[in-house]
Amino acid sequence: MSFQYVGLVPGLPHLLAPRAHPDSTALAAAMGRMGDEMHAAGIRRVLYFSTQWISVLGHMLQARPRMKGMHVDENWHDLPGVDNIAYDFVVDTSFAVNLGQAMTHADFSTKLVDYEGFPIDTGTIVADRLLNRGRFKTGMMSCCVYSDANETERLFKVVSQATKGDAIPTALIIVSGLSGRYFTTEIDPREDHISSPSDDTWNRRILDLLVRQQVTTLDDLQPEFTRQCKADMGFKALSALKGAAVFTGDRTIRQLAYGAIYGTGAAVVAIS
Amino acid sequence: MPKPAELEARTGKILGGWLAPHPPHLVYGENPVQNEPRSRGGWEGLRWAYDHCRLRIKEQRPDVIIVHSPHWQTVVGHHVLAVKHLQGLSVDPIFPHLFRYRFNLEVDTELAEAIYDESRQCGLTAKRMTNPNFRVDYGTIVSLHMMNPAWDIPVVAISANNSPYFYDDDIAQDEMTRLGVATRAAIEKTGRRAVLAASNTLSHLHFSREPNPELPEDMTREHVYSQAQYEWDMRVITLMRSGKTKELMAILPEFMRETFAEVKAGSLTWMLSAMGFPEIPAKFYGYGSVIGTGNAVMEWDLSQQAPGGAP
Repeated sequence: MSFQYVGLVPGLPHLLAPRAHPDSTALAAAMGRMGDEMHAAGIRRVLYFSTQWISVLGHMLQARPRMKGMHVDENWHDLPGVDNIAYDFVVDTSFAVNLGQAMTHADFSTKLVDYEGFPIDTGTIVADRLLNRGRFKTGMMSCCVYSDANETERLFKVVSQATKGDAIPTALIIVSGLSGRYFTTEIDPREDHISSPSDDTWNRRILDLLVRQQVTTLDDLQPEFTRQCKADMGFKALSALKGAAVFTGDRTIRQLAYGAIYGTGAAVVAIS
Repeated sequence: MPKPAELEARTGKILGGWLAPHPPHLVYGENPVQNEPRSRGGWEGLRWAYDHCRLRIKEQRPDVIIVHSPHWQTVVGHHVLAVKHLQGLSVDPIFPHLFRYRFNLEVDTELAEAIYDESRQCGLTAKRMTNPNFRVDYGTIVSLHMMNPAWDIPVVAISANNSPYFYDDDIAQDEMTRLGVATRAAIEKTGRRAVLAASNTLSHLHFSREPNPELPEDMTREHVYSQAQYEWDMRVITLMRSGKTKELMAILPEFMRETFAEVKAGSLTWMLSAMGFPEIPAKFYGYGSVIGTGNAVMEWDLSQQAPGGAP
């Protein structure tokens, strides 16, 4: 087994807001529980793959040993309580080097990044704040906008294979939303909801199929889900999950929470 | 900077607008002290085209440069930098090996507030960015640095609302048109003499790998992405040079579809709208490709307009 634990989580800053909508509160609580589960399962390292860290010339891997600072989101820079988000990552750089070598060997254009002030994306920071709480070393991989479903699946096969030979128990956390139809005007956070009933229906259908591991149907629906619901980054999350071999029948997939964040669909799904 | 009383007494105006592309390679090739990576040069055709802009800005001495950047992407509305002073380190997440720039800029907050107010009056969702820890995006910084490396003129930066990627092109460009109208009204009411910058490339399909990772400025490996993309760029530039702004606006949707053109983000539409879609020939100073994308430095000089023309 390569990744001992796999999770699908959202990454919008509303999850950290002190006075959030009940959906966000429930999603954040579920992510907290997921982190505890990972810790109890002996996980010592997390690899984040966030759809908010986009790259265009292949893939990037974070290789700076310590990333500590204050993050301001380009859109939610005034969200009460989370306008400035503190972060502190301890990066397992040898893991990044190993993954980079495996990816390059598999003909993926790969770059290690080790720069002061590199802008870590909001999704990775939010996920880490809720899951980690100083317990796990980390890795971060970018989401190449030009990698299609097949290439993303192949990428995660390579990454899984590379992780298999590593003794440190590792979790893969995919930071991605479901339906991506944001409200485009300011809303009262107390009135947040999935912005379209159709999106809500689609999200629930996709989650049901995920939990029941109906991968063929999910494959068939991925393009339509993307078109109909502006799914986050073409729902590459599914391709990543497939590449990480989570649909092999020997894993349990559980939906820990589902709800809206500023009109978009968000879920916390645990695969152990 | 003029005194408040002077500004009150005069009606502001737009002196001109620039197509001011923002590949970080241009700053990297120039080796300014603010940018940490060092290069052996590269992309001179574009970099030296900006010399004309630098000269014009020195001649005109505008009160403010206003830039609309596709790399400050916002989901909810159009955001405006509204903090008096911003400084920090801006690392390009796409090309961090080329662009790690220590920025230090003064914002014309009075004008920023006015753009915010006018935008809301135009029915747009707008927001002021007042967080002093905000990291300014590389699109904003590259365009402003290439236009005025001395940074001795206050600036206002406007985000690219992602409506072009959310709605269809008509709705999106209509939003940018209204944002331009709001910007012009704010300039006039605050008495500013302003220069505008549309921070975007033209055709935007590019290589999927860096041609020479060991030497990013290897100009033997730089070329247009495709002949089709090049011909589209020339068609668009020809319309700009001919002052056929109506025709230009009419083909923009097709241009966006065919070449993934970055004008889709709305910067060009915003600028032309603010200038009243002037039917004057734009001055062409240079064209060049950067990892395959098409970029041109061009000026709409409104001082050449006949009295009574667009503002």
